[in-house]
Amino acid sequence: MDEDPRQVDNELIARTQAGDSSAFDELVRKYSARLYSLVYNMTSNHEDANDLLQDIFAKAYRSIKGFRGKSSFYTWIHSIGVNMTINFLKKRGRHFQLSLDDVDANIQNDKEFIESTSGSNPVREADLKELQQRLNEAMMKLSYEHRAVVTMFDIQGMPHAEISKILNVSEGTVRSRLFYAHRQLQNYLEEFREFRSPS
Amino acid sequence: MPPDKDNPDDISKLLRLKRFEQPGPEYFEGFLRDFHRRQREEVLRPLWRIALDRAGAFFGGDIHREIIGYGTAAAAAVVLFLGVVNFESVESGKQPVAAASAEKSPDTRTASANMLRTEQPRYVIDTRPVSYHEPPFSF
Amino acid sequence: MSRLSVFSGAILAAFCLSSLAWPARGESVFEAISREVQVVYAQHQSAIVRIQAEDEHGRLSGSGFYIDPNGTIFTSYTIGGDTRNIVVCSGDSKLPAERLVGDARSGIAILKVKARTPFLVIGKSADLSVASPVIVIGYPMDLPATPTFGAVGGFDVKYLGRYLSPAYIRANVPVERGEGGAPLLNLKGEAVGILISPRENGTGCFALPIEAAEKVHADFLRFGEARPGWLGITVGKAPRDEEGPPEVREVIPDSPAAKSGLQKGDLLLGIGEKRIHSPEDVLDASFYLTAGDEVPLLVSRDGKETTLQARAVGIPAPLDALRILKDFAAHPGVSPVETIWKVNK
Repeated sequence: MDEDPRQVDNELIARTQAGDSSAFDELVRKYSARLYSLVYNMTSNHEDANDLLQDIFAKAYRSIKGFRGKSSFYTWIHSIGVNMTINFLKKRGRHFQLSLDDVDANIQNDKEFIESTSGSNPVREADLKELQQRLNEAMMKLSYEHRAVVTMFDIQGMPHAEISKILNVSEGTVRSRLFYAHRQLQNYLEEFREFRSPS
Repeated sequence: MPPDKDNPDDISKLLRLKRFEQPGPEYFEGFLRDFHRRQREEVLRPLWRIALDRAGAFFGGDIHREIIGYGTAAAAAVVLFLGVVNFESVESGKQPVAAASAEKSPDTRTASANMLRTEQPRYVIDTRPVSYHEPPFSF
Repeated sequence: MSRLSVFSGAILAAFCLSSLAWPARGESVFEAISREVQVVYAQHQSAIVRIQAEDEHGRLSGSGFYIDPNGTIFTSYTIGGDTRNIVVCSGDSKLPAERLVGDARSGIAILKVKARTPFLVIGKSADLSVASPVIVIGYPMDLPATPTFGAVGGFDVKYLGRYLSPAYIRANVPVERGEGGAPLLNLKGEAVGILISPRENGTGCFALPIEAAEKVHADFLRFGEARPGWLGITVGKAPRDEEGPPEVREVIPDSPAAKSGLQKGDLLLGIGEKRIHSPEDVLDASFYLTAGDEVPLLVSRDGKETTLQARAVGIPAPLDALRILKDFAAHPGVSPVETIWKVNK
């Protein structure tokens, strides 16, 4: 049965507001994976992502009584997520630790990975992994605002309109930040390619 | 295959793969358990601790704001002024210096004066330095 | 070719004395000055570049200069701070540049190209005084690199009823659009400032002291970003002596100032290396604080001088002007824009 996801969320919110905490558990289950992805790609650190994720849901739970449904829960919780993550990053400065141990086995099931590893342009898995690491490093060089839009648009596949609602900026700003961020990432990766190309 | 700088899709594809960089389902179940535990701890905080935290928030937080407010009472509104003067077009009728026309735009086409006019970039200098309406005597 | 501003005889004489551009036999004073400017121009103009970039309103063009042989460039924030497709032009060469850091608060941006480059040696604006001769070499409009010449008028923290932080170099050098980001040089050809804006009368300009740009650069090398510092002090005029060093009016609880032992009523005589002679001196000195760094505070308490040690922290959220400036500077617009920011949220 195809239920409107917004409808489902609204029911869960109503039940939570009425005191049914198991309804909030459903919301946590529903949104923790994608919020994790958002936070992790901005911090590049699993421990930080875990702590932040706890904080984000705790804040959402505390504030849910005041949630009036003007935006969707999806937008609302992503907004909380982005803001808390950016504040965390600002307070912390740039002393981040990359923890890439979990760049994981699920990649093999991805259609794009399969395409890039088969056919006339084979690439060794080790190369791809290193490239991914460089990409992570490049992501960390972006400003927090630029990292946020790249994470939401490219990694999570959100449309410009949704991102502009979450960040409370115009779609034009979203587009120009993406344009600039992609350019930056390309430049960083190009340095990597030039460094390797003598082989 | 390393990303081709002329193909923006490569970056997007690589980034798309990053959505798999997350732990498996057992992490998320553990996450929910941790979340419950933290909620319980909130509820079970000793009353004296709750009172202390609330008092701290009341005095510390508000006085902090007040003092900052007092310190900048003369600066209740801080105005930051950042202006750019732009050169819009060659309306003055001045012809671009021929020798310099190659520098004007990255694609050096020999074009009519009209086309050159629309290709003119804005020549920038700020109107004034970044400034404050009230002196920032709080630092 | 060089353009000369109009001088009074006194300034001309001062210039000649300070630069040793004493006229040779048969040479007029103007010819002597022109000779000096030509020497500096010939030796250093290759290190000064035109910079083109794009923002949401279209393409823009300004100036900048290399500060090391590895392609590091100082320019103004308007040109390089939040723009894209930045291209550095010098002669026939055009190189793409990446932005290392943009600091809207000071108005500078630091870029980098991948090339070996000529560069300007960094001088000391602190060695400049009123009537010191200075040269601006920039790219006005679509013209080639052009030297302009003048003298330092002073170091200002006030302009048209507004306040500047840090103090800017005011010089009577006429400047034009396109020259934003150009270097201010002394007669040794050292960079002592970055041209930011003209003065309203059209015959003068404001330049950011090179030490301010160096501060941002050092922050970037150490931390990857500009890192302004905060102490938690509010000062006002000294009660008895309106002309003297400022009195501490408030010390924020738990702030770095509080932890250093600073007290309300202390007279503030020095912050770091800067001596404070009046309340307005703090506008300049406070710019150079870096979060995480220890800074000595020289104070006078009950007639006795003492030095306290404070460790600055990052600017706390209610005072986070950077965010406001960043959001704001991202949309400079065609006409001057104002943003009003109420501290008591």
